[in-house]
Formats: sequence, C-alpha cells, structure tokens
Amino acid sequence: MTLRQPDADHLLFLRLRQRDEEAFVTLYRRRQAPIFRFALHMSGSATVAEDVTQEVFMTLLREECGFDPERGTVSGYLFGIARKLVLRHLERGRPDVALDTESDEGGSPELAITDDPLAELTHREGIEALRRAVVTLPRRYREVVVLCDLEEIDYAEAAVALGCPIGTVRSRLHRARALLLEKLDKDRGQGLPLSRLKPVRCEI
Amino acid sequence: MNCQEFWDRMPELSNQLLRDETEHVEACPDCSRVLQRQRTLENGMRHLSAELQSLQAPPRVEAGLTAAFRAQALRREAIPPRTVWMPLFAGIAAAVLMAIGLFLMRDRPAQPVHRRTAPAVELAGAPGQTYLTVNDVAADNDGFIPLPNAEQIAPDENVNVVRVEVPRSAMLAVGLTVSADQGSELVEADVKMGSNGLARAVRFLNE
Repeated sequence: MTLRQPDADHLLFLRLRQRDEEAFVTLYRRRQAPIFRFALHMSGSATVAEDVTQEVFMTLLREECGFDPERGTVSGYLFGIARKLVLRHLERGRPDVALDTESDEGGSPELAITDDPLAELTHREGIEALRRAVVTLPRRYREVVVLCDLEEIDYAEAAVALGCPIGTVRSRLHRARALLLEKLDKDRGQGLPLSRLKPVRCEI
Repeated sequence: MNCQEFWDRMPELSNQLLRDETEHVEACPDCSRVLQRQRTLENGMRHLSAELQSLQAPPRVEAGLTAAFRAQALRREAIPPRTVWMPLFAGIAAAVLMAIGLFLMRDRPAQPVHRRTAPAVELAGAPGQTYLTVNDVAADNDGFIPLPNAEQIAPDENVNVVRVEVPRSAMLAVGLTVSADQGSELVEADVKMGSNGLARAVRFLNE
C-alpha cells in the first residue's frame, strides 16, 4: 500500500492541529473562497454562504474534526462539510432559490439539430444566462457542476465531497450539462431542447 | 459505434477523444455538432468560473475564526492535558480506596475461634487464619463428631460404624477447617450409623 504524500493543505492541517495560528490562517485564505462560492451557488444566499464558510473552518478547530487523509484531500473534506451544512440549511425549508426539482423531464425525441444558441456564452449576457441556468439546476446536478466546472476540482475530490463513486460524479455531470443546454435553449426560445435529443442509431 | 454508444461514453467529459470516437464524430455530423455545443458550454463555464473568482467570504469571517482559534488555544493552555489528569485521578482513587479499607479493618470485631459450623472454606496460608481441629469441635471420647441435625445416639442404642472415604471438604459440614487447595482430596472417615440406618456421627482418621 502506498501512502499518499501530504500536499500543502495537509501540511497546513497538521500544523494547525499543533495550534499553529499561522497555518490555520494560511489554510483559511487558501480555501475560503471556493467554499464560500460553493455555498453561495448551492444556497443562493450570501448570508448562508458566510455562515457555512465560518462553520466549515470551525470544524477544523475541533478536537475530533474527522479528517482522514486516507480518504481524500483537505479540500475535498472541506467541500464535503460545506455540502452537508448547505443541505441542512435547505432542509430547514429556507431555500433561497427553489431548485430541487429532481425530475429530469423524461421523453426523448429523436436527434434534431438547431442553430447554435451558445455562441455568445463567452459574452456578458451569455455568462449571466449560464449562471442563472446553473442556479436553477436540481440540487444533485448543481452541486456537481459547481464543484467540477466552476471550482474545477477533479472527479475524485468531488466524489469525496459528495460521498459517491467517481462514476456517479461523471454521470451526474453528463446529465447536468445536458440540462444546462436545455435551459439555455429554452431561454432563447429555441425549438427542441438539446438535452432531450435522443440519438438515432445511425450505425456509423 | 452508433450515436448511443458514442454518448454513453460521455466524451464531452474527456479532453481527448479516442480513435473510434473521433471516427464517429467525423462520420456523424449530428454528433459532431452536439459535441461542439458541449465544448462551447464548457468554455462558457470556464468564463463564468473566472468571473466568479473574485467572490469570497467577507473579512469578518476570518476575524471571527482567528478569535475562535486564539480562544481555544487559551482554553487548552488553562486546562492540563488528559495525560496529566488520568494518573492524577487514578492516584486519588487508589488513596480513597486504601483509606476505606483501613477504616473497615480497624472497626472489624474479633472473630471467635471456636464455631460449630464453618462459614466457608478458608484460604490456606492467609494471615491470621485459624485452623480448627477435632479437639476444637465437640467430639465424644472416641473422637466422633455428631452430624448437624442428626438425632443423638441413645446410650443403649445399637450402632454400626462404617469406614468410608470422603472428600476432605466434607469436614466442613462438622465445623472443621479445610484449606481450599485440599478440598478435593480424599480422607478416610468412620461413620456411626444409628439403629434406623441414618448417619449420626463421623470421625476423620487421617485429617
């Protein structure tokens, strides 16, 4: 069995367990922004995001914080705590954005191609439309998009944070992107949403 | 490879297509266009991510956490670590137990040396232990010890004496002391039987 080499976050974590304030502050400054953004995207509330960020790092100060370097990185661990705190908040019935429509809108018409509605995604309005589409995704798809696409953490780390296998992360991301395309198409009043396109067996 | 098989592989999540995937995309304009849209979406996500990079927790969060860290450090310094407390507690507990033991020993009344029944098998070699012998219990002139709850032998009663081997622990029944490690040894005994055939008294031969 090969032991994972401690990365910079892990070394900081070890130092903060020895009551090194500088290590704690450094780790906080390295990781607070992604945690804050994740909580913000998931809750839709800056206040909640602030509370979640604070609570995540308070957890690190506890004697038994539960971080196990064998299971993943400090970053994945922090995202995992943030996710639990956000879910707890959402379950209290205060979702600042109503998002958890878990139905994926079944029905799969056959493949049809529309004109490209995404060309302006790199422009200001396009980016704003994309942001709106992300925050209206069902929760389980939104969290994987935020982690993998917006925070750009790898699938393994996302799997630790979400508590699921890597394959699940990939399949959710696949589905999430299809839903995003569908939402963007709808926003533009396009005909058939791309995510509902079912490929024809073209036997090529 | 057909379109279904192509998309089942989730090619949009990979940076590079495999050779058969590339062949499919080149031959299938529909999949090629959808894949291109996926790439565009990915690019848009990258831009969105860059735009959001400036978002972060307000400074008061760091200030609050730093204060919490310092407060916790102070508390830890004020309280000795567990490694100090555990031996301390163990020492106190031992001292209390010893004091209780001494108190009980001081107030215990003296035990009578002679007794008719043995309360228990006493441990051999225990300090202060008193061994009872046939002379200590109420034996008759022949050394027979009346059995507990047995009728007395009438002066003119016909009796039989039977020699048996019994475990030494049987001596306890008549008030003799037996050490724990000898309890299972066999010892010869004469049992005096009354006219009704019931045992009345016993005499241990090689105690």
